Amino acid sequence: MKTKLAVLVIALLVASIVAPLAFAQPNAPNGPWVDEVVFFAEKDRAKAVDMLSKGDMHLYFIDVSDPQIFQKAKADPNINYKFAYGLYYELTFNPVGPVFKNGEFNPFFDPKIREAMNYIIDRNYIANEIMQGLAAPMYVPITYASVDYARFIDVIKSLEIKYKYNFEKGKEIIFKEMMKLGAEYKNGKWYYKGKPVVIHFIIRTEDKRKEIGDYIASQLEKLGFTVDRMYKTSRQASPLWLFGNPADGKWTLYTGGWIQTAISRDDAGNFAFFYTPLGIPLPLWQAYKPSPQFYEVAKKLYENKFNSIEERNQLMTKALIMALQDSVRVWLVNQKAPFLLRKGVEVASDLSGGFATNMWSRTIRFTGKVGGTIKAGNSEVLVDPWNPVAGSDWVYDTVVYQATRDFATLPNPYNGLPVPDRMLHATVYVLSNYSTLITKSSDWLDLNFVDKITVPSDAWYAYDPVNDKIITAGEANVTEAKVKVVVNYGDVIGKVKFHDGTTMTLADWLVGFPLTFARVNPKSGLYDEAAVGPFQSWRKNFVAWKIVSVHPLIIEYYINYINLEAEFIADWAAGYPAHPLEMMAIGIKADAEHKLAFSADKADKLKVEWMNYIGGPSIPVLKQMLDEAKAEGYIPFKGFLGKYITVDEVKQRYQNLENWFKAHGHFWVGDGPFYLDKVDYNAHQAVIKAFRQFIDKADRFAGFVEPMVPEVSIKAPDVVISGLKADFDLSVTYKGKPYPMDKMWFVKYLVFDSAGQIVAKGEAKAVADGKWKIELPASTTINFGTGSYKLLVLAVSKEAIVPSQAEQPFTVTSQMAYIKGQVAQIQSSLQAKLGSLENGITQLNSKVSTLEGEINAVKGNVNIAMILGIIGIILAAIALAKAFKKS
Amino acid sequence: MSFKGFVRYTARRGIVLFLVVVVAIYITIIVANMGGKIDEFVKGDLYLQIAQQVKRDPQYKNLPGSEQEKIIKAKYEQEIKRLGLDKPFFQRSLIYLKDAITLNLGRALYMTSDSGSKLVRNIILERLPATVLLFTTAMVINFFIHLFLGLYLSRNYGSLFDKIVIALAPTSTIPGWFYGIFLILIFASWLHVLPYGGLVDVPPPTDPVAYALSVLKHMILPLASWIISGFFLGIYGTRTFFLIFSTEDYVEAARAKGLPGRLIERRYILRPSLPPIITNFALGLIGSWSGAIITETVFNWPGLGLVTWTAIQNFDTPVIVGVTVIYAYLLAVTVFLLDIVYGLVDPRIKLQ
Repeated sequence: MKTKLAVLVIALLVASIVAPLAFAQPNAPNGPWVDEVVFFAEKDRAKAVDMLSKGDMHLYFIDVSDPQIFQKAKADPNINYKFAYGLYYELTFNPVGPVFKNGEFNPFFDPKIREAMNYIIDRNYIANEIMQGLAAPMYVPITYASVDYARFIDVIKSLEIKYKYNFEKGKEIIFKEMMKLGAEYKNGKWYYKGKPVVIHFIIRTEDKRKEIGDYIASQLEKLGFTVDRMYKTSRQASPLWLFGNPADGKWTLYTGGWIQTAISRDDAGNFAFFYTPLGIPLPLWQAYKPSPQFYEVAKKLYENKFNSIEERNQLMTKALIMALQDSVRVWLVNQKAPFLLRKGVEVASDLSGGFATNMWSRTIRFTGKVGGTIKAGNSEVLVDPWNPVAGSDWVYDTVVYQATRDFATLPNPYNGLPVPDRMLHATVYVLSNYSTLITKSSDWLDLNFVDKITVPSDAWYAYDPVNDKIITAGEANVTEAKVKVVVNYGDVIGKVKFHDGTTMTLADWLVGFPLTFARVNPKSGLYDEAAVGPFQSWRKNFVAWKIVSVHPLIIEYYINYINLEAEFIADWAAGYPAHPLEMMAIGIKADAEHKLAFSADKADKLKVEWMNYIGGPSIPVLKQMLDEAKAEGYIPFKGFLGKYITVDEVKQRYQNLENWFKAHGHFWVGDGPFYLDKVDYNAHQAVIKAFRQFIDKADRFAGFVEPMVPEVSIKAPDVVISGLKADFDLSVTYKGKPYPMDKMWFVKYLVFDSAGQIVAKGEAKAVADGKWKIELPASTTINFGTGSYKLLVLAVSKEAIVPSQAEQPFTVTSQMAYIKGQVAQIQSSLQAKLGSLENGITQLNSKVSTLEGEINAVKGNVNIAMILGIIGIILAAIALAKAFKKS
Repeated sequence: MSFKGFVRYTARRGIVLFLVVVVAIYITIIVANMGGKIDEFVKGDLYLQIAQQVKRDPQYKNLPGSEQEKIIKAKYEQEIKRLGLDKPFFQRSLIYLKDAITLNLGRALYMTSDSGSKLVRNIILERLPATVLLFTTAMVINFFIHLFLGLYLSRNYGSLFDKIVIALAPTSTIPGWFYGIFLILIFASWLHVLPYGGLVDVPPPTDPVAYALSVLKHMILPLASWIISGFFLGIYGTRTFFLIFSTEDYVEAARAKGLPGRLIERRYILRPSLPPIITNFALGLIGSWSGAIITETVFNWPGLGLVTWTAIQNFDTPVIVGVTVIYAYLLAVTVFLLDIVYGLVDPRIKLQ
């Protein structure tokens, strides 16, 4: 018995230890969650879906926007998907007219006809039928994945209502205008000076724009226009619409498409870009003639010429309205591009660009597991040469190599704001005349407005490559700047490791500065004509910098860069070395000696190879550079960098790089969570592996796996009384839990009448986490007539800028009707009560009758009993008498 | 023919072939550039691309519109100069021609080789091994299957197998990639025993032997698709070819003389039929080096066909010319050599 008890106790003890381990989340390792990611090329979307289903692929970096293929993926139990909203389509009009040079009439020179086209095109049909739900109607030049879309959601919604599909209304306007312009409508066709009005419609054929173009062409034919459908690819179309003179009349309409690869936080410039000659100095743009009012508004927004956010908001509202009145472009749909991944895999996905965000490498994992190999498909892998200065910028390459780098900040995939990575904190000082313009919304940053910003005389202003020395701000007579950013990077010097084992020093931070100046100095061997333009633009904004502390590393940046959001000012200024000095040095040596070139332009000019650190003919050259550099203890820009690294130290670094090369066959060394293990150029595969000496744990950005998009529900009163206050309770949640108040940006509402007109709008008030209230004051409800209404609530959080919406119908009644209703209710209630009282009395009567009957019955019984009693008494008396007689 | 005559003949033949090559290359240059019209397309695309890049770049975003315009124009002109589009097309076409004839394949305009090189030579040469590995193997396998089974059927004319081959010959009108799709569906998607495509497994094996075996495994389906596609028509063609030769008068005469069947087959049928067979083989061999665009796409095979296709799509003239000139030279040399080889193998052709 004792033995059994002991076994039981031990078993329970073991279970108590093992059970939590079995169910616990694994500890986050340093570096990424997974051990390895293999990138391979797979262009065929259908095949990719099959591979995802079978487990031959875990993640597909290309969107699967074909509705049929997506439906298959959606139905597959092994596949998950996330949407991105970067691509959008529009209809570009030729604005020249009323007649082209060739004598043909162009109805679309008239803004009213263009505006009326908004009624002619059913965007819901395009979104739901042609694109089978993989798109949302679009009315304004701002995409769904933009902060300004969320900010002006109420204005945009009201415009959507105003311009919703109404073919008859559009037809009426167009017919009226056409008549006014002298066109004739005969036998169902429009004629101008005896000739049919022909619309030369360039329809792009590579994507869904072919079907969209056909639909719009048929709508135009219904209006009586003769449509010349010109099916063309991008290359065939661009000489006509883009480079051709629109006055030649070779085209009238074009199905345009645009793409946005990251969440936009400022779309103020879009109006000038899309609607005015300020956009691009090409014939089409120069033919735009917006109204003077629209031009002024667009120009102000384009050049940031406003003094406060309120003024910007007013300008934006005006611009949105005027854009639809101008309608030189009619926006059609915003594509919802699905990005697929296998179930059981977690990763962040940018609302604009999908998985191609720097955050992917920080978040990818198999759910609840540490380790494993991710097989990632992409349309292409390893496209152009990789080098740290002017290498490939193909997204197919960047998604791989950005995983091998670390950064000062990372982009938040759901709101577009920079998220601090190595930058721990920033203090931004801006001249006080920008105080009404610049705001901040993050707690890792302080924003101060000051009257003057003085640049210290010993701050580094430039580098002189000829004399190999730094030029200080004092030497350059630079004394002031518009902005000062103080960035604290924490204790990284002497702590952070690069992939080849080198420990980070200041030399790694400084090598890029002289290189920037050497590349634009014609006397330097590193001179590259292509670098001059970007440099000039950078120079205008960058003033000087100064390292004020090494442990922790704190740097002051003096700049002239202005952005409406202080986070972007800090982000613009801050940098972080992604590669060690030794890796940079061999490239600098090769470029300076004209054996290889960092940029494609310089390579073409010198007829040498474009520098590639990971393979191809560059490798033997870089190896030769490494051997030479190691032998001579080469320190680039020695006059400057020599103060920060010794020859022995640099030799040790070259040895590290040589060891790295021997192990991996390439020279790509970073400091990110993954290192590049190997590349296979024949098979077009790249293998990156976990760098377990990475400074961060894998769970640092765990909160970015899913966007915290709020869910809204409305509790409406039974009836709203015109002229009386009405309250609507809102519930704002995320995965069933109350959404924290401080993480919400706003909750706006619109009230529509039965005709679809907006009758009230405003913002809801936060009551508590997850609880919001809309209070319609009596002064608002008094304007509501009796009838049915609809409340539309739009909630946007600071965490994810995608608006959530909820609708709730409700009834409005007048006070008199309400009182009458109440009286009627009371009457009917009283009547009901009286009726029930009558019933009660009747019931009582019947009960009394019953009682009487019962009493009567009792009475009869009593009589019988009495008779029987008397008889009994008589019999008893007789018996007694007889008894006495006997005795 | 005397040696002098032979030299004169070969020189004349060589010059004619060279001129044909020159004309073919120049036509390619003209066609690839649509007579210079491509310049407009390229310029249009380039301008829009640069304008959008500048407008989106946070570095330029806050600059005044006029500054942005300057940057766009400067970048555009720089790029035009880099691509050589600042020179008239006619002048460029002659430069392309000269470079092509001298086999100075030069640098690509936009494309890079798999390993990132901009030299056209590398762009072509890096893809050649994979192309040769798959398509030349397929071509050689097909050639011998058709030859031996064709010969066998010519001997067994009218047999059941012969009838089946004749009946199924039209199936070869379906291209190899079409069979490829079905093979992928069956063996990759359904049975999951062979890969969907690509050159090697994901991740690529580190051991060279395992790597080679993995490549072989990835070759099975594309090879099979080409073999199936060409199987019946190829055999039928060869079989018919041999049958025609076996009814020649001199074969009948040999039979009448009572020569043994094997001897007749070898000396009277096979030998005279060798020139067309060798021609087929040689031309097939060269043809296989240019790859096959759709098959490469279906099987995700990194071959030269896709390089040519990408070059055509991007109007990368140096690459198009490079691929063409190599093919043209190879073809000319092959034709030239075949003229000589014919004399050696065909008893009916003699030097006079």
